[in-house]
Amino acid sequence: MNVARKPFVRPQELSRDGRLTSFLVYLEAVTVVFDGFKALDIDLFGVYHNELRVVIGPNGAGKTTMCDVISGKTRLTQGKLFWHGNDIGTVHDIAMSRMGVGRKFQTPSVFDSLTVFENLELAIPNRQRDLLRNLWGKTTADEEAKIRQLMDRVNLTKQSDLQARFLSHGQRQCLEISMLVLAEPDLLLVDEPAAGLSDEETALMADLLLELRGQHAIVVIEHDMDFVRRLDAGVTVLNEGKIMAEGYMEEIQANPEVVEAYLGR
Amino acid sequence: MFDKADRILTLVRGALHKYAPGIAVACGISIPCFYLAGWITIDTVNMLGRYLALALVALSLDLVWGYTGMLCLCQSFFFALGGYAMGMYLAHHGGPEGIIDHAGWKIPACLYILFSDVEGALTPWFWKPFYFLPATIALGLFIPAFVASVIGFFVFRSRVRGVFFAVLTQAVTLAAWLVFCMNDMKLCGTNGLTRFDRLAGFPLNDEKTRLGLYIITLAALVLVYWLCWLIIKSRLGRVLVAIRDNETRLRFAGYKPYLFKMFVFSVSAMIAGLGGMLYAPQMGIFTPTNMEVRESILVVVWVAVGGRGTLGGAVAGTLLVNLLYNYLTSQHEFMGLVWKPDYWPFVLGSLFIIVVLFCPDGIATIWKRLTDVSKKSAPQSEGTR
Repeated sequence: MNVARKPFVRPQELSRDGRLTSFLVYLEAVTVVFDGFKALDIDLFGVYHNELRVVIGPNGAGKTTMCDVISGKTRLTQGKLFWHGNDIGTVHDIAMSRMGVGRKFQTPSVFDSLTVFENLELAIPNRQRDLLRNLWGKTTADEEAKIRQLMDRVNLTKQSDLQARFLSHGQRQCLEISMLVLAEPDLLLVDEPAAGLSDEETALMADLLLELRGQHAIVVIEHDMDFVRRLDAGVTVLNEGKIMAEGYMEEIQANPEVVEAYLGR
Repeated sequence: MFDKADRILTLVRGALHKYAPGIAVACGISIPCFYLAGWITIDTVNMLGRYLALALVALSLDLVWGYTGMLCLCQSFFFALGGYAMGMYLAHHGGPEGIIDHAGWKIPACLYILFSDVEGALTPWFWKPFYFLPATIALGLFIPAFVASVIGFFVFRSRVRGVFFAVLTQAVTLAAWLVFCMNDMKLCGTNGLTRFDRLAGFPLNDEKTRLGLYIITLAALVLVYWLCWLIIKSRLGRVLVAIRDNETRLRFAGYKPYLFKMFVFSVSAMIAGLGGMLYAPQMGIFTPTNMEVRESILVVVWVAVGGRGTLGGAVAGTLLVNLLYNYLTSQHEFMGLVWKPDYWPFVLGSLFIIVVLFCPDGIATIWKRLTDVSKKSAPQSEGTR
């Protein structure tokens, strides 16, 4: 993947119409207040179609809150959320997921008593809506092939019939990501995918994310700077609920403000 | 030589594992045969028939609690709704002939006792559908399911979960019990429904009828077990387990958990109602005591002892605890020591504690360990959630 890198275009450099058309998800003047505490205060934030974006920032910077807002878990106190250029306000989590937002939680969250295969089966798209189709419907050969292929990709084929509770931490992370990928979302929100992974698993995770770029828009929240460098993607730095800087890693590292707040320490 | 014995043992264990449902059904069928052979009395058959009806209630709780992870203390209420439906039918067709109200409708004997001094008493309108058996059966299934879906709609939509759900359903059961105890409800108050004489024309005190009831109950249990098994093995069954494991994750996967919960809750209420309908004619009386909160908790004990999250466990637990109850609530003497029926609550309590402490997945795990000969068994589970 040695594509010549386009310069990072910050939302401020685009016209409003330009932002609406080129961003898959776009936040405008968004604030989220918890009990008087301003957890998020963003002027402009957008994720391009099929872009890989990394969000970094110190603890309590509002990274997870931003994910919560986009995935419909937390309501906006103020501001607008645009999805495919449409102002959707605050839609609740189920609707948001059906519209194409996949969310990976900070702690790996899979269905412990189901096998790996069954976990993935539940994530097959367009099977969620209808209760009765779940009662009668069977997984088709196509869908099964897709699941097998994905399990192969993340080295879970051997564990196919093992209950998810017996998986290692890294395998659970992989399983959760696989579940998201299978649902074919437009946007993947990935909260700390490398947390608690071994070096080998971290490399696998980075490869996986790089492979997925171009197929989905992906927002990765991460603390691990090596991992972020490996992803080689646009970075947004959050600090105290505000966007402090945006750009590629080199630009970010050269920004004295960011170094002061986060990197330097 | 040991090798051979070992192989035979393995074979037996494998067969037990493979044909467990068949063996269980065969045991169920053998009971009427024992009766016909004269080895057991009709009262024993009748008692077992009642326990099979209770096993239906245990199955219904297992769907909701064992698989979907919602501890429901409403089960005795649904059971009683079915029981009252059948009881009202039976009361219509029992007691002395010729008590007719002004509109020419028969007044059930148990109702007549309460209203004999009221001038111009009429059989309440809501008793009338229960004069007919098909309507009774339909309503006995529909009413619990309807009540459950109404409760479910409000409770699950507002995301009441865990302990709150248990407390809420317990309150519902208690409230329903209070309502059913009121004389003004014209449901015969605390006396309950009595004077059951005939079911579809067959006299209930006839041994053949009672034997028939046992067989019908057994057939119903087998059928319901099979239906539950189908649900559990379907995609929907896995969604239910997913709700138990991680409801939030499921929502973010685009599922609406409350729909699935409402479905399983209603199905379970229907099964409990069926249990009630089969229990009433075999018991010969149906009173508000059958819907006390205590009864709901007993169902929880049966399922816990048997093993939640396993259908066979629910049935086995019910039969085991109830047979134990039946045996230990009569007086026994052994080598000068006297066993008194009063000791039973202690046995029940210790049974529950022992299961929770040492065998959290119930006796079903013991069965599994005894019979499962497959080598690739998964690593041991690290207890329960």
